This record gives sequence, structure tokens and C-alpha cells, in this order.
Amino acid sequence: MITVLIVDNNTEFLRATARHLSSGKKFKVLCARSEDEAVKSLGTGAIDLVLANYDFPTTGGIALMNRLKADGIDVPVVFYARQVRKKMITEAIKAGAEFVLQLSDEPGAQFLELQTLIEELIHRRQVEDIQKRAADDLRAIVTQNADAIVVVDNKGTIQFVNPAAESLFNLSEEDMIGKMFGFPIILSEPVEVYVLREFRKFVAAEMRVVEVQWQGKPSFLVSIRDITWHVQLEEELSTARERLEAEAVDRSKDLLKAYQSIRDEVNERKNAEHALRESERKYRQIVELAQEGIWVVNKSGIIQFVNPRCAEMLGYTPEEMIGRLMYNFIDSSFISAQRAIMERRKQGLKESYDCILSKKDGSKLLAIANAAPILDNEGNYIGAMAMYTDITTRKKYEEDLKEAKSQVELYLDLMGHDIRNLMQIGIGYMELATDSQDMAEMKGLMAKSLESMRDTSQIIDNVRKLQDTSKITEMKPVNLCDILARLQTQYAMVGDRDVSVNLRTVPDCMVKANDLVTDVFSNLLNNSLKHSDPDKPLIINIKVDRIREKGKMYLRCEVEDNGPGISNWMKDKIYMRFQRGDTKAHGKGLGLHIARTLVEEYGGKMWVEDRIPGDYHQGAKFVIVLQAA
Amino acid sequence: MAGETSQSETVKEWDLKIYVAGETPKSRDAIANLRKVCEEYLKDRYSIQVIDLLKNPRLAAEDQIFAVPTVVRKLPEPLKKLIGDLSATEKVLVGLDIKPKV
Repeated sequence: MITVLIVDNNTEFLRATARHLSSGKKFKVLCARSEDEAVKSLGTGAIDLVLANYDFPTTGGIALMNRLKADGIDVPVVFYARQVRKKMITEAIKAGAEFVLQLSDEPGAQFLELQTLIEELIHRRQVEDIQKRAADDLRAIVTQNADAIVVVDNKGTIQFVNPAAESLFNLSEEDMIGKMFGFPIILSEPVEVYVLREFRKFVAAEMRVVEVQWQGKPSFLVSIRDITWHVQLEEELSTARERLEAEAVDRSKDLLKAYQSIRDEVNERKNAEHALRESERKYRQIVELAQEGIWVVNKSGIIQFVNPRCAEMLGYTPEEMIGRLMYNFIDSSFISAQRAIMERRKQGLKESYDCILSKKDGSKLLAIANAAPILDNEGNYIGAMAMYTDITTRKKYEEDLKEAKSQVELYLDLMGHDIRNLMQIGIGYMELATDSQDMAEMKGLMAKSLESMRDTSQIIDNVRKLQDTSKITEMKPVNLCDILARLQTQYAMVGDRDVSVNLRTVPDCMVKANDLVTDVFSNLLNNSLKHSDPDKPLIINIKVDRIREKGKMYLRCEVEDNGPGISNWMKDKIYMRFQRGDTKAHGKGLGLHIARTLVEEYGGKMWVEDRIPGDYHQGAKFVIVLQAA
Repeated sequence: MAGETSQSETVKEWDLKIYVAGETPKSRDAIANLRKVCEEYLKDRYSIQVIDLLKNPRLAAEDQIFAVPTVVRKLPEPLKKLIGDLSATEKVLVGLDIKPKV
């Protein structure tokens, strides 16, 4: 719908014109009777065309045009008049009017013509507006573009430059238009050129060229983009890359050096580890093959390490010992001492000492221990190490040596004392016999000398027996009752003495002993005989019983007599070497010592009691207990 | 480089000037490309003057140089200017109006 404003003060004309124009529904008609009214209506912006009376009474058409221009109102104006003169048309067109219409006397045709004219003018104005907008848009693109745009003709002469080009070349439009820029080489890709901006100052740029039509002529549109920053960036990147590459090379060299250094260090460490392992192997070999037992315990006394020899010494495997408390392998008799010893380890002291270990089979192992504490880098106690040398055999040898020495001393004593005495007695009697003229006296003296020699022989014999007892390694089943029976027979027929030997045995008389057991009982019977009053009858009672003690069977044998007995204070001493009894009987001093030694060797016991408890004068009773076989 | 002229000093049928900015790889490429075209199509008939505007900046005004590389054909007349990548031989021939050998 086209909105038309009719400006006229002729009301009738206004109405008629409005009626005719709006009849076809294409036009909307507004009316204004004055210039002010017209300007006010135009101020709304809804008017498409002004139809005005050129001969407007107050100011005339040109004044209206001027008023519209002054107010910035750009709306097509068509004047009409009764009388249209050439000068009027010229003035109107010059003032900006679109057309001057002469009113005719045929309103119908006139209005039709007017409608057509208005439509045409509106259409044309619309097209112009569109073109103007397009041109404005294009102009904005070109002028606002950051890239420099230069249009040159086919000779290379500059036809147009945009503000960016003025800035890039540092020249004004006037300085550039009409100058020869140059024939641009057209390529599909941008070309790098250097724009001369100032004296000796070039700017790197990218040039693109396209063929265009400019003002109807074949031309070239040259678009130039400042890529200084890009080139700088590239140069910086290149420099940075070179620097990075150089740094990378340096770094690589550093890394290589570091790698080589690390490798050298690793090799050195490997060599050191190898040397350490080798050293450890050697020391381990020494420890493993050592003839001494070695163990290491932590500060709690738990065994951490044990060498094979140590385990072997104690009858265990190393695995049975590691992780266990060391006191499990110390003999109970030595545990207290061992605890005190460990306290000294904790004080940082090392020492050597004799100790007693406990073997798996329960037996003892005597050892010399060389022990030392183990300290950490700060000197704190973290454990101990001990080296054990088995001296059980040595101890035994020492004991044997001691025993042998003791025997030697005994032999010396015997040689130096008893035997010498008896020999002197014998020699004395022989000398007397040599001097005697009386045969009977001589015989008597010789008999005494013989007896003395026999006593000497007996002592030697006893010493031999004593020596034999210390060599007992095996016992055998011996029939005690048979031995006692023989002795009973032997001692029942002694010289002209009244001796009664009574024997009461049990059916099973087998004991663990050896042949020397005869001497034990023989000695007892001999003592009974020797120490009893020769003028009184001697009664010896021998009784054998089987007894059980702590689950084991024994034979208990009592040999009692009605002799003078043994006082209480003598009862222990009679077993001592060279100790004689209370009587003046001639004894050799070894008999009971040998007898008891033998019985103890057999695993038995021997002691003496009063035959009548509390009254030793009534005789003595020897009790011998032997293991049943 | 600046003011350098190839071929002999006698006036040649083709008198060319090439304007560059410094001795850079691109400058060297542009000069080499021009020589190559001239050797191929104007053998013995050309002379090339190389003008380094960094060394002789005042010479830019003589031929109204806006950017480099620019080739100016002094002779034969009329004056022609060529600007851009000189590696495109066909474009160079067209721009300088050099007719290819038949």
C-alpha cells in the first residue's frame, strides 16, 4: 500500500483526489492543508510520496522542497499545477522534485496517469534505495577492510585505493590515484612482496590479484595484506626453532653426557656390587665352611643366621634354628649366665667364655664362645654374633687327663707309701729270717715276709682293678646269685674261723655289670672277716631282692655281719682312698673305694647302714643296688 | 648488487631494471628468474640493472616504486612495470610484452 500525502489548501480538490487515488485500494491518502501540517505528517516516516500544489498559496512548492531538505526529509515529491511552465519544471526538478504534473480537465484520465506515475516513481525510488544501500554496503566493505585494496587498470595505473591502502603505502588517495602501480602478476596463490612504506622501510605483504570490471573497463583488484607480524612471527619461530634445536642438541649432548655418566656410575656400581658379592661369597664360604659354629641373633635374641657347622654341632638343620629364640639351644644350667652375657653384648662388649649348649638329643655340648655385638651406623645395638668351638671332646680329654693324673698320683702314692711300706716290712722279716738260726722262727718270719709280699701283690692287683674300672665301656648281664653262691662257699671255709654265710636270693638274678662285680662282694666279705673278732663266730647274711624304682627294675643286695660295725662318722669316709676302718685290721685301703667305684660305674648305688638301726656296734650292713639286666 | 648491469654497457634493445630490497633469498630468486627469462627470450638483446632500494633508497622515486620486486621496462617504450612473482614465466612475458620465439 503506497501512502501519499497531498498538500493543498483546496479542500474540494483534496477530497476528490483522495477519493480517486484510494479507490483502487493501492493507495492510502493523507491530506495536509499547510506546510507545517505536511512536515508533521512526513515526520512519522510513513509517507511514500508527496503530491503538492506547486502554487501553494502561502509559500509555493519550492519553499516546501527547501523545507523538506532542511528537515532531512527525503521523500519523492510530485508537483501539480494548472499551468505548468518550462521554468517551473526546471526549478522544481532542480529543487529535487520528481515530476511536475499539469492538471487537466479530464480528472479520470489524469488520476489514472497520476496513479501510474506514482507507482513508477515509488518503484524507481525503491530500486534507487536498494542500489544505494548496496553501494553503501560495498563501500563499507572496501573502506572498512583491513586489507589494502588497489584497483589498477590494464596498464597498471591506479584507479582506486581504500583507506587501508593509504595507510599501508603511507600515501594519500590523491598521491596514488593515476600513478603507475605496475602490472600485477596474477597467480592462484598469494605472492609475497615488500611494500615501500618509507625511506628504506619495507613492509612484508601478501598480494592477491583478481580481474574485475571497474567503471566498465577490465581492471585488476589488488588486495595487499600486511604480513609483517606473520613474517616476524615466522622469523621468531624460525629463530625459536633454531634455538630450540640448538638447545635440543645441547640438551641431547647433556643428556648423553648424563647418560654416559649414569652408565659409568651404573657400571661402577655393578662392579662394586660384583666385588661385594664376590667378597660376600668368599666370606659366606668362610662362614659356611668354618669348623666353628656361627650364629647371629637380633636384639631380641632371635636367631637370624646359623652356619651349617653350628646346626650340625647341635643336631639341627639351619631351618629348625632360624627364627627361634637362642635360649632354646642353651643348656638350662647355663641360661642365667647366658642372660648376663647378653646384657654385656647390649653394652657393646665382646668376650670369650665357656658355655654349655643343648643339643637336639638333649645332651650337652661344651663350647668356647667368641661373641661380639652388632651395631648399626649410629652405634645402636641391633644384635650379636657368636662363634662356638666344640670343646666337649677336649673337656673329656681334660677330665681323662685329670683322672689319669689322679691315677698316676695314686700309683705314686701307692708306690711311695703302701707298697714301699709292705716291701720294707717284707724285707725286714726276710732280714730277720736270714739272721735267725731257729728253723721254726725262720719259717715264721718268712711266712710273715710272704704275707707282706702277698699284700703288696694285692695292692698292685687292686690298683690294676682300679685302673680297669675306669676303662669300663661295656657291661653285660651277670648272674649275681651265682657269684654270691660261689663266694658263700669260699668264705664259709676260711681257716679255722667259725664263719657262717647265709644267702637268700631271688629266681631272676641277672644284673648289668661285668666280671669285676665279684670283687665288690668279695671285698665286703673280706672286710667282714678282717674286721671281726677272730675269737667269735662270724655270721654274714646276704639277701637279694628285686625292687622297682622310678619304673626301672633293680636288684637290691644286702650284706650284713655281726662284726664291730662302722661308726656314723666313718660311714662316708670308708670309701675314701687309704682310709681304714675303726678296727686295727690290716687293710690295703682301696677295697671299698674300688667297690663303690665299680658299683657306680654299673649305674648302681652302694652305702652302709647299721645292722641294728641306731646301734652300730651290732654290725654293719652294706647295701648294693644294681640295675637288673 | 645495486646498479649492477649484466651484458655489455652498450644500449640494448631491452633495457630492464629490477628493484629489490636487500640481498635476500627472495631477491636472488627474483633476479635469477628475470635473467632466465631474458636469456631464453631476449638473448643478447637485453640489459638488466639491479637496484637494491636498501642501499639506494632514493632511486625508488625515479620510477615511482610502490613495492618490490618490481621490474621496469625502460626500453622499448612505452614504460611498463611488472610487480609480483617472477617465477611465472608466461605472466612475465605477458607483463613485459615479450613475444615468445616462434
